[in-house]
Amino acid sequence: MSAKISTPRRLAAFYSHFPLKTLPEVEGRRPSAATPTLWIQPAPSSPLSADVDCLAAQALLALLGKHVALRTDLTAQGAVDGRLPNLQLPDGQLLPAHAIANWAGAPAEVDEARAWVSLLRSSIRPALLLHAPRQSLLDWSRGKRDEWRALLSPPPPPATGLGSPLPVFGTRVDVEGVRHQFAAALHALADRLGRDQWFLGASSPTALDATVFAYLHCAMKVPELRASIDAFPALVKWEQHVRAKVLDVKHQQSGYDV
Amino acid sequence: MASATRLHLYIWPGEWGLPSVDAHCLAAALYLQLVAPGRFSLVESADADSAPHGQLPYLVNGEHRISGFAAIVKYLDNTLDDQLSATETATSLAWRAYIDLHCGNLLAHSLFAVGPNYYPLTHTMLATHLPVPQRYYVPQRLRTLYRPRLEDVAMWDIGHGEEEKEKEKASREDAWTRAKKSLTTDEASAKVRLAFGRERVLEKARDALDPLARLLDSRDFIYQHRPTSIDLLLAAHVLLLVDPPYPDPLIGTLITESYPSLVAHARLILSLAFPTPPGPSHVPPQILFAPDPSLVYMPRTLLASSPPARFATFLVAGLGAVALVTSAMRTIRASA
Repeated sequence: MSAKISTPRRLAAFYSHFPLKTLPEVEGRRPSAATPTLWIQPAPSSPLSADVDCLAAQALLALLGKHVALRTDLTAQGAVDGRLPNLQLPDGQLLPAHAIANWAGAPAEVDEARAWVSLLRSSIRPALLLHAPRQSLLDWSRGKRDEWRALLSPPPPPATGLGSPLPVFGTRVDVEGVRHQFAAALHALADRLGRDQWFLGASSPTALDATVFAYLHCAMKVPELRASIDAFPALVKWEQHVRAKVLDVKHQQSGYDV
Repeated sequence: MASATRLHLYIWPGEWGLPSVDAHCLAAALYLQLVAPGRFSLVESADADSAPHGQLPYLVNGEHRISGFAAIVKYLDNTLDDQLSATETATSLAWRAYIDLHCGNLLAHSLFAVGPNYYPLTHTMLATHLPVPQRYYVPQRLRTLYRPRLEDVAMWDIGHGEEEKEKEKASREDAWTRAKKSLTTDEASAKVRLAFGRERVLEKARDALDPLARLLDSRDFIYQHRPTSIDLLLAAHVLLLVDPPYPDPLIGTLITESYPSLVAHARLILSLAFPTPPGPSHVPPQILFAPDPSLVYMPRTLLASSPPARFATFLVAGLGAVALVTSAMRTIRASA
């Protein structure tokens, strides 16, 4: 015979203030199984991602006419190689960032395009990092220091000095040098673009155009950098032209969007 | 730029028959030797903290101090690049960024990431030029600076791990012990991991060097018929990948065997700047040595560092002095 233990009356009275309620099941929209879904970092009040790499993938797929759904509720920790963007295919495959251009059927990258991508990475990304929103002290002391050392060549020394007996702390970044490199890169981009519709005189958009657009678009959102870009009307006009093409593609919103 | 005053180019010291062990310093030395022969001095310095932004090379012209290869080229009015068209100038900037990134990764991997190279070669070389006590911690700090960029491209830890320490132990073990160890699973998996890691580095090296070989093609120089800044930057990286006596010359061997055009180009640039034997019109640079940044000169080094570093140093020194005086006074009172 099992003995039933009843709840003491006073305890039951206390618990009665916190009744257990079962909420009805929420019927959410399910993503279409036939539509590839691009995982990107969101941007406040904009359909275009705030992250350069995510925006480059978003722009490339739009310029090549690939219709994809967007998913903006994921963080980089949940992505392949810990980096967004990723592309989820209908068959369940999850492609990392470097495989998206190949899947989209983008033209093979010419040697000069790789050089320009290197210039964007070494000259424009540091300027974006310089004006990135402030992080917490812990994130700043670890993450940003490593980000500077990964971007700049040669890597910047610690703020405490290379030969100082003090423990290493901070990063000594040549801020003026970063600004000069940014201006020089803009000048080079404007000269190389000239009057062409697409970079390197291509007849149709390539991955390089998507990448240049992503960097320019993100830089133009920073007031200090926008002033430098406005000095090159051809680049501003080109960015507007590409942005219109990218936004013209209507993205099917996935059921997971926040 | 004032042409009457003598220029002083501060660079990392030279080794292995090259004017400097750093790619940007070497490129800057080559540049000045081609545009201003006999009008500058090379100052070998291991004190990067005295530089305007804590990095060598830097150029001193009177009261002006210019830091970095790109800034030095611009300060000298882009002499070597002044005949390039606007498109060539723009493309040259992009290719310089490419060389800085990809060849810089290969060089950093060879010098700092590979343990069998770093400890007997790089660390020993740096320690030779650094005073006490910097020689005990500055090489490792330099190595740590390059780790994030190499980890980003999976070129940091390719499986060498503690191999250098294993080599030390091997000298004290007999053959039977070594044979037994080679049969263990850990040893075999480490070898497989290393083999895959080396192949991955070779693949990245080919991926980085193929476009440069195509860019150079069969010409002597990349643009026109004279060297420009991109030639010097490429030559500096190739020379430092090929000439040092690396115990593990993985990338150097690849370049020598598979990219003879790049090696020939680098040798040509070096011979134009520093011909051997020197021609009748060749003017070698005067080589000076920067003051020893030892403990005696540490106050000067501290004053050249950033304000927060100076504040922290003086704060720690001040607190230490206060603690010393307080303990001395307690001792005196206790004995009185």
